[in-house]
Amino acid sequence: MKRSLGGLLFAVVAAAGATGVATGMSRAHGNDEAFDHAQHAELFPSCLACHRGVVEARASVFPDPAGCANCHDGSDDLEPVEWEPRDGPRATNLRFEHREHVREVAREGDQEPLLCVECHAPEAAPWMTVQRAVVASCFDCHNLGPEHLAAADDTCATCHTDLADSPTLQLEQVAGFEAPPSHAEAGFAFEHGDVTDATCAICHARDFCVQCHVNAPDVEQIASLKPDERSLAIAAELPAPASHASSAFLSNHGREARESSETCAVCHTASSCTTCHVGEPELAAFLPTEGPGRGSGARIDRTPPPSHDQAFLTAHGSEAAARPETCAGCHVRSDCTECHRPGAPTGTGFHPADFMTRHPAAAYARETSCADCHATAEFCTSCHAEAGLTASDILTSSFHDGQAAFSVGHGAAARRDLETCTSCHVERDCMVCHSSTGGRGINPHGPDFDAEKLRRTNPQACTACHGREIPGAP
Amino acid sequence: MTGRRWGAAAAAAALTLTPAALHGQALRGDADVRFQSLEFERYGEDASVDLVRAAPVVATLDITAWGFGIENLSLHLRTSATDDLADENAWPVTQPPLRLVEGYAEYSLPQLTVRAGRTPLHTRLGYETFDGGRVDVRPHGTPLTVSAFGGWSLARGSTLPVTSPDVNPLGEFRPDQRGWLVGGILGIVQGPVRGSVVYRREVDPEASKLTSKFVGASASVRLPEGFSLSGGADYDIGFEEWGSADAQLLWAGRVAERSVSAAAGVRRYRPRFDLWSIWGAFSPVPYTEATGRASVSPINGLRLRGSAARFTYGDPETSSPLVSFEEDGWRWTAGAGWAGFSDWAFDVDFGAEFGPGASSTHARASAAWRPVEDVRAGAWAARGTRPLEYRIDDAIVRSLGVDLEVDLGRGLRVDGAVGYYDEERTGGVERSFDHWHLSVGLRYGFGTGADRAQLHPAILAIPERPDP
Repeated sequence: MKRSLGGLLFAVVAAAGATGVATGMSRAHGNDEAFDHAQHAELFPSCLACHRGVVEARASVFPDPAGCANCHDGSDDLEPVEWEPRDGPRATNLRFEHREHVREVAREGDQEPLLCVECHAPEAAPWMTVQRAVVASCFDCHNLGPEHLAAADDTCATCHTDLADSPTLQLEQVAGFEAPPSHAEAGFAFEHGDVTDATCAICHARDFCVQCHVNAPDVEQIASLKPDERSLAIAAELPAPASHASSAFLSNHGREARESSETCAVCHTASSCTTCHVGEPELAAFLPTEGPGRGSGARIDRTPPPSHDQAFLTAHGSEAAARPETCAGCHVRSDCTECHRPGAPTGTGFHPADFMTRHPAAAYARETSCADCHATAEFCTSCHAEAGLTASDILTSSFHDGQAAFSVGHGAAARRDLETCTSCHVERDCMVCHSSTGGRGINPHGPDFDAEKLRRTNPQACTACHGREIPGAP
Repeated sequence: MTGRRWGAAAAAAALTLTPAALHGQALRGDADVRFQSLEFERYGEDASVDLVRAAPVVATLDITAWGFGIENLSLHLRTSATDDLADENAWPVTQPPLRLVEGYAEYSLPQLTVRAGRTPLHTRLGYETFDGGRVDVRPHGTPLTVSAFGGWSLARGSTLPVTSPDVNPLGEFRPDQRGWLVGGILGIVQGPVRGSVVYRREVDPEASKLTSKFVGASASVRLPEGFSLSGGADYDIGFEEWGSADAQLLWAGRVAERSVSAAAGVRRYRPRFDLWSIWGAFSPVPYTEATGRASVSPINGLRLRGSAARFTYGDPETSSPLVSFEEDGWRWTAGAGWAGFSDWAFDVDFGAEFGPGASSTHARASAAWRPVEDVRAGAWAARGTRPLEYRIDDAIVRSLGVDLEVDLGRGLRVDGAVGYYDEERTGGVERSFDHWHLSVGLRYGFGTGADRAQLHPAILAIPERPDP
């Protein structure tokens, strides 16, 4: 079927009109039931008998309800019909009106005027077999391509107005827009900016772009779009680029950000950086902050790197001491002092809730250094004293009852776990035997003990057991 | 209520109410009040058993303030008030009731930072605070940071000086005066290599004798392909002995697109004692440990983890034919965490350790439910045993509990937990440790950026979100 432009337009107008009629009818009925044209085939010889407004400016597109009531008066099984014709413009973003299209066709002159049935009825169908005009008819006449959504990007405006210029379009209609196949192509999310033809505005407005584009005010294509909140009915998805899934991305993204900061600024605000880099806000200085006209951008979940597993909690010491700057990338001082603070009796989460039940083994083996956070005498000893575990007066084996001769052979245990001994014992407990002045003079020093060195460095400890008679002293 | 108790109560109230008075643009802080209650049995005199109740309330206040008309000047304060509301006063670290954890002024420029007051120091030798000052210099154009610090020391692991009777409840021998502390740090950051060396010397001013003198070093290097190597060591100059040391090789990356991390290392541990104590003269021996750990996320939301360690003590060079003690030990843990559901997270953890002095096995399971962003509810159950080598007292402990955290908005967060411990002892003295443990906390973040309680004040340089 080959037609002139006027004929084509008429077809499209007819299609649009039919869509509008159908829409108007169903709304008028208050339900989705459309007017049954076929049932009335013997009554109406012309479409314009009811839809005169399609061609006449002051006429109504829809019939007068009173006309329906002429027959549907409640007699002869013809129940009254209650409906109201659509009041106001049709809800559409189609660019044309039936009347305008008729005029276009008339101006062509050398073409036979199109009949309504050419768009609104299947070919060779019986009279009054009415259907909505299909988009394929428009495409056929306008030579736009084989399928609606597969048409070239610069052809949409042939039939459609921009979303922002279609005030009658309802939110649910916008939400129901089908996405063109191009939108599903791999990489479209990151390459759609290369589309230079202004066709995005048919379905989208600036608000849609701002959902993702942090740099929206800086992008000419976005800034040129009109704002329209209805465009938010289409939810934008912001997938992470493939580069972000690389195993090296976590460690390399800083350098990449410095080298291509404008690329980052497409999707990321400063909060993307400071979500993790809480102590280094200066890193985010090159990125914009959230605000009106800018999207919130990619949402960053603060997740620990793989190395930060459960065991890392007690094994991070050396790495943290050597590379505090690395820690400072994501942590601030208060993160450390939650645990690393002296005299922390509140239990802020470092030890699990049931740690008290197994703390003896952890303390004996010094999985972590208890003394870094707890003063042994202040914390351990005072609690053990309240529990009745500290020594008093003459030492016996009553507590260490695992082996009857513990007191005799406790030296090896003491040299291995001296810090644990001090959680219940003070020096005078040991000096009962190990002092050479008030005790039994049993030597506690190991074979490698250098008495002269200790006496030279600080003789105070020596005097505790030896008094003024420190061996080797001049 | 005693005068001391009234003082503690007043201090706690002051800590809680201070935020409202100090609210302003140039202030950020965090106040936390926490109450706990528990009961347990203890050995009384003449082997009787007493029921002891502890009801500690701990209030902490953490404030950072700036904007005093002097650019780059800020004040930092962290203090706590503690009291045991039960008469037994059984909770540790409740005296004195008011403590200054940190409190210093900081003046910071790009190449210079000066701190004065109760200053924190975090080095290879551990975390400590002291009353004095610290200067950090970062020479322009060099990868170096040079620091010097000095002042009066505090007892290790405490906020009190070593002369305080509260850090010496049993009357251990202690110096009569606080030690003088001086030292320095040299740090370097050069590409993937970072390192620091710290020197720390403490002197007893009364005897003009050394209390302790250490030098420590730590370094790390980030290697290609996700590897990093780190380690450090310290040397006790006072005793002229090597102290603790460690080295660790860490790898984190992806295998078949799954997140994996693994680490292997060695560690040597030797306890540290001051020179005024006789403990160092008892010749404590170190132990050496080989460790390994790994974690993998085989599917999204699931992470499996495991670790193992084997440690051996040095020869104590003393023995008795009458007794025999364990000389080495091992430990392993295995666990799994599942966070594949949007509202739920689950975690299980198993472990066992065996070694000189004590052993233990434990199993723990927990679940957390976050129906909305502001509410988190959890429950946990655990079972453990803890046989002790030196006494006939094996215990099986079962515990379970629930906890709840609610973000009330405007910086206010409340949490609570209730747990029950059921202890079954075999052998030794019949003594029950069954008890309920109640904990209730209230946390309030205030000041500028109060909704970001953990953020550094420098972040406030980033503009707030404009009103829509």
